[in-house]
Amino acid sequence: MSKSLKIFIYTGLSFITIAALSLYLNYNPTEVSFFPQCPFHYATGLHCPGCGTQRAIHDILNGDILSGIQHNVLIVLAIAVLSYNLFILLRQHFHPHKTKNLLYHKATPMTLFFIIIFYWIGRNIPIEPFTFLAP
Amino acid sequence: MEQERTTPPNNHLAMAIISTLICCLPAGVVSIVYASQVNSKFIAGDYQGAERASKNAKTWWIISLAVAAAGIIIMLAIYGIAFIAAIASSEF
Repeated sequence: MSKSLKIFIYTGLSFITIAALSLYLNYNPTEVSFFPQCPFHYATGLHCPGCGTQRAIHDILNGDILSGIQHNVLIVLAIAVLSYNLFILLRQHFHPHKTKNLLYHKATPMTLFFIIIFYWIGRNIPIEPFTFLAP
Repeated sequence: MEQERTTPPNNHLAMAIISTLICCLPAGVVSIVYASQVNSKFIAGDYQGAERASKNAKTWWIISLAVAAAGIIIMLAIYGIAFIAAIASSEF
């Protein structure tokens, strides 16, 4: 890929991200209906690991972090992984040989995979300790 | 023969997690599985396999995000048309 095409794509993607975030900042997904509903939830009635994220993004962007986390606990994981990755990218730029990326550890992807799968199962169990996980 | 490499191919794990948690499709989960293969194959010395897994991981998170983005755009388009139609019919 040529360098100018890359810059073009990244600029475009940043604009789309900012546009999407401002949409979620200004409109509450529980009140307006133009946000898409999860196809998995629509088809099965069960909650998937991503259910509640639109509401969570809306609440967190509006400063209501606690109720945002209640809609989807794993949004914390998503934000953590994203910021960790950005931090590592920056560090790799300045200390290319000293930086170890935990995301490239052999066990990391499978650990996260099982966290997400158990989360998926857990949030569909309608009993007391698990109901916290449901959106 | 291929020589020893020090940096693994991009395993796209961060984007795999993001796409799993912000869209609701199993495609993100597939991407995580491929991310895991990137790491294990690279450690085992299978560099070409790791490259292939990296490409698959990338493909799957892009699919996942693209479907979510398409969903938002389609919903916005439908509601936009309905909104314009409502305005047009109410004023005249």
